[in-house]
Amino acid sequence: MTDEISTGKMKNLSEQKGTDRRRFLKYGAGVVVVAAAAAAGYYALQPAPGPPTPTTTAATTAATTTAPPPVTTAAPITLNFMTAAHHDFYYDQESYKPLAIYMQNNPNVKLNPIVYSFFDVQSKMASAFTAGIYAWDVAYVWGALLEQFDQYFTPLTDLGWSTSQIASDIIPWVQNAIYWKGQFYGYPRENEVFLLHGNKDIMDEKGVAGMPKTYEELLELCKRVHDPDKGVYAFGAGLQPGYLFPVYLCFLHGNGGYLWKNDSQQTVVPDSRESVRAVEDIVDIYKHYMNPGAIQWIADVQTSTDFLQGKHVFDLWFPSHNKVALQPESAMKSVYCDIWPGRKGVADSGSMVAAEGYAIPKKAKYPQDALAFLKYVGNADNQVECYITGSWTPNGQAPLPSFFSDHNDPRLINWPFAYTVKAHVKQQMYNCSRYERPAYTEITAAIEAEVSNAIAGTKTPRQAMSDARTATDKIVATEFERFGGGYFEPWKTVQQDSVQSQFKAILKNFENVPNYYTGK
Amino acid sequence: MLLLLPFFVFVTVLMAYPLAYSAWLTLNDIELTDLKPTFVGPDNWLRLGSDPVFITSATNTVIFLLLEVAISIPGGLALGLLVNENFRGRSIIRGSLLLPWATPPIVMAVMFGFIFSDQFGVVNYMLQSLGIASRPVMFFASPQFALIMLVLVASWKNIPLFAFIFLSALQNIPTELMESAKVYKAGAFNRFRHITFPYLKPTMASNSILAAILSVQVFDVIVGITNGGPGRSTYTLYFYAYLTSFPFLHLGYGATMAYIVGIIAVIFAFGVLRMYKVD
Amino acid sequence: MVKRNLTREEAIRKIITYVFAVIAATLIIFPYAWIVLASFQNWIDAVTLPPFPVRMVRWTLDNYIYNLSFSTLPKAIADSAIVAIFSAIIVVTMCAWAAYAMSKIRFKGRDLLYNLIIILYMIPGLPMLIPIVVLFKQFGLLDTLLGLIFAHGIILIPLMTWFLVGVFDSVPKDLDEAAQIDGLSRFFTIIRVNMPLVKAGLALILVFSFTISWNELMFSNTIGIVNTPMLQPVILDYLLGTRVQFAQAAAGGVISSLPIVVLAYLLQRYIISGIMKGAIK
Repeated sequence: MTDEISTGKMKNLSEQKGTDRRRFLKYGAGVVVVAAAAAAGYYALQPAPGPPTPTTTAATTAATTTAPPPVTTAAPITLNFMTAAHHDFYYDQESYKPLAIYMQNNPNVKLNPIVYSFFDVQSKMASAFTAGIYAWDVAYVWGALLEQFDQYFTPLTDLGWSTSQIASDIIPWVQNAIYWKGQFYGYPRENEVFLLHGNKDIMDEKGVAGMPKTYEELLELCKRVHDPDKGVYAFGAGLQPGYLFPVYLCFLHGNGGYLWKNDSQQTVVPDSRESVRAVEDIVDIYKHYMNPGAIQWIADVQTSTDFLQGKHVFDLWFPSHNKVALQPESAMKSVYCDIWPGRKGVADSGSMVAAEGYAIPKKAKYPQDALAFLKYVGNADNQVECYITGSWTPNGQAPLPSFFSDHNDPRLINWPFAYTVKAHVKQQMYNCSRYERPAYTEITAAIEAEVSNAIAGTKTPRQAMSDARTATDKIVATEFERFGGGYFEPWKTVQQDSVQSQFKAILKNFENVPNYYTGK
Repeated sequence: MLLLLPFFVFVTVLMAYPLAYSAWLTLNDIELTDLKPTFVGPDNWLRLGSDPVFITSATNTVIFLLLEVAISIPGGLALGLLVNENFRGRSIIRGSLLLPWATPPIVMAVMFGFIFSDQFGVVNYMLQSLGIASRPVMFFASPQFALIMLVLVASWKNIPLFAFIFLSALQNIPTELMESAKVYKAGAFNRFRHITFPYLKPTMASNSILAAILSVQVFDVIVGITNGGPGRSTYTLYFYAYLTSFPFLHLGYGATMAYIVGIIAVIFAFGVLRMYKVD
Repeated sequence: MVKRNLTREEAIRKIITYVFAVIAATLIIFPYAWIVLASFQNWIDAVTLPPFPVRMVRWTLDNYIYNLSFSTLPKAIADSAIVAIFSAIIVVTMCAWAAYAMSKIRFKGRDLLYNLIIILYMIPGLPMLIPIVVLFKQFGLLDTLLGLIFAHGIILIPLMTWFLVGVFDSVPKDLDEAAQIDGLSRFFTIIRVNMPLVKAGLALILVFSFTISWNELMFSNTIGIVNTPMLQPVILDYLLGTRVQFAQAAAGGVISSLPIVVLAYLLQRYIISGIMKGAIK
């Protein structure tokens, strides 16, 4: 260009302006074409829009009237189904494909799974609900979320569905997920508690006869099987913040503790005597019987792989470990599964529950169709089939059925791996509180960080829990201002004889089931 | 003048206004769940002093920043000098200088979490088979070293970038100067000290600022590798501000901390500019 | 030049150079290569020691199949691409004029403006994200492509303007003056005189801008909720949510970074020559 000017090769001005204009138009046209192509591509990738919601209005008047079943849409629709990533429900399993089955039986419905990580759901929900946009027809919920966002969900009775069956049949631990202040908002889907697993191959080798009945016994057994020089540790659990709170709860309940005070704020008390003892127990077992790296291990990544390869003997996790034992790559072939043992003379057992479900946001486009899908999610077929056929993949976490009646299903009773069901039901008779409340995320982050500090040795358990208490007091105060307390405490219900006897009745079905599985 | 108009409109609407609004938000209580601000005055700012997590995070951030600059600027300079030399295969390295910077941060988290894993990481494997370590080294599981490891991970991304920038600066040094210095038998060291280095000073300044900004914004690798742990040893201010704003839903308090992150970066940048001017 | 034996100093220098070069190349490329290798391995083999070269592993495409079965993935890729392209174009279009002015015209407050850009660049994303969320909600821009384009634009403005000034600086001032004398208006000076010369620099800036936008996580995750999935948040949700095993995470990582890495390699010659032309100061 420099040369052009200096040697006078540049065209004269009027020609120049003409070229300029042409070039300008050319570039402009190019930009427009690219933009149009991009827009076209974008719209092409949109799911096909459905027709407007049918004019059949759901019964919004008195829920006690036996209204005829609401009509669902006949024309093709797409349901946005928001689920959490650990519910690999959306990832149709090798044998049982719940989503595909539903779409087969309802050919006009297309299920569009939208997956968020568990840690992300709350902020995504908060953003979507405050923005007031249409986001999902069916949305994942659990206690802490429902308590914050109940105003954005439609109670099932508003959709003309009687919830008496759910109310009478649901296991109280799972009720938290879909029930708030007198209303049911959805169907349960996740019901899992932490259990103690044992590598039976190694235990048999070392002459360990069975699973420990008390925590003290567990420590004794740990001593017998602990063999770090051969690369085998006695105990394993995922201790990374984000996964630590459930472990802490098991130790807390095993020490006879309870995280909430019986006051109007339901004050969180991480510095109670039992809690400090629990943390001391964790620090102790970490120091003596766990792989040092476990302080940052993620439960279903490093820890489960470790367990599967026989690198630690006792493990604290959901039942999914047991299915892992059936993996061809698993070094462990036989496995025990039983309840988490409590301190002798203090508590027989205690654990923590993961209870989750699905609900229907108010902005759903097709609430009746969403409800139909929810009913499918909650029926015995789905609950039982999913459990016994699902999740043989490394990422699987298929939960147990959420209803009492499901446990009388012969498929579950005669299942070769029914030992996990037995342990699970047994465990639910004890305190499995998860302490769900609106500020759950913040409270648990505070407690986890301090427990982690204690494990790392940067603070003593007493100091760490005292700091945790200072932090949670502030959080609880703010939370109380906004929500006014009244959070559900399932343990109060589960303790009652009526519920305990229901669990015992189920256990009768599994009387002849051992607490282990022997593989080849 | 007209030319500046689109830029100013853009910046005012998209940057200046939000920043001013953000400053106002720090004087409010506002939750992500309803986005309705309630005026509380300087409460959020006063809370900072009594929030031990804030103090830990701020300390970690400053440590991170200083370490990061101390490691990546000399590292970048060394690498830049290296690729300025003529040797076979130089183009391979030059071509891959931008690869770390172009890698999405999540991928970096997966990479380094995997490579430095105490259970199945290749680094631990090599250390153990060479006999240097008898037991697996807890790279990210030790409260003392986790933060330093994160600094190294961030450096992996930054050093090649700085090398790239230094390289372009080095290319601009007039060759006659170098040639005449060689004629006068100036040693490599002296050549560097008296010719190269003065030419690089403005680039060093701008790279230091860049390093500061990049280091306070480190976020994805923290989430992906340590999630703030063990304990709170890898809590940086940016990470804590994000946690407060989005998972914990307190936008007002989070905005306050986010502002402080910005202030730290600005202070550091001014410090660097002052330092290089005086020289 | 006459070929002669190297002096001692030069020989030492050459050896040191080669040693460091090998170390540097390994350090830079190894992590990424390792991830790519892991992504094709059977998941349990990938997390069992000894690692690959020492021990034979089973190769599989399962990890990729797992990642590609995410139903939101195609839309996430499309959305990320659209946002990246458009935010790059918009930022360059809006800021090029001011960059030109700062480069070529001596106006009052020019230095002030230049420093302002540097200060704007120093501000990290989060202080702007929080008010943006509130403001976008009021304007209904949350969860829209337009909102995302603006959000990414915010991040890009200072850096791109800075680069643009450098790009225009590489065009000698005399050219402009000559064109002005010839009677070209300022506008056409830019288009006819400067643009062709800075094509390489502009392309470079657009590529940088695309990369930054593609890799951006925080803004995309917050502003994009459900109707506008973006690639990085989607990958993050899958990685964090089920805490997939590393082999699958590796595959997800490779998928999300592939376009950028390919782009960087294809254009590296272009980029380096852009450097030569002083696109970056």
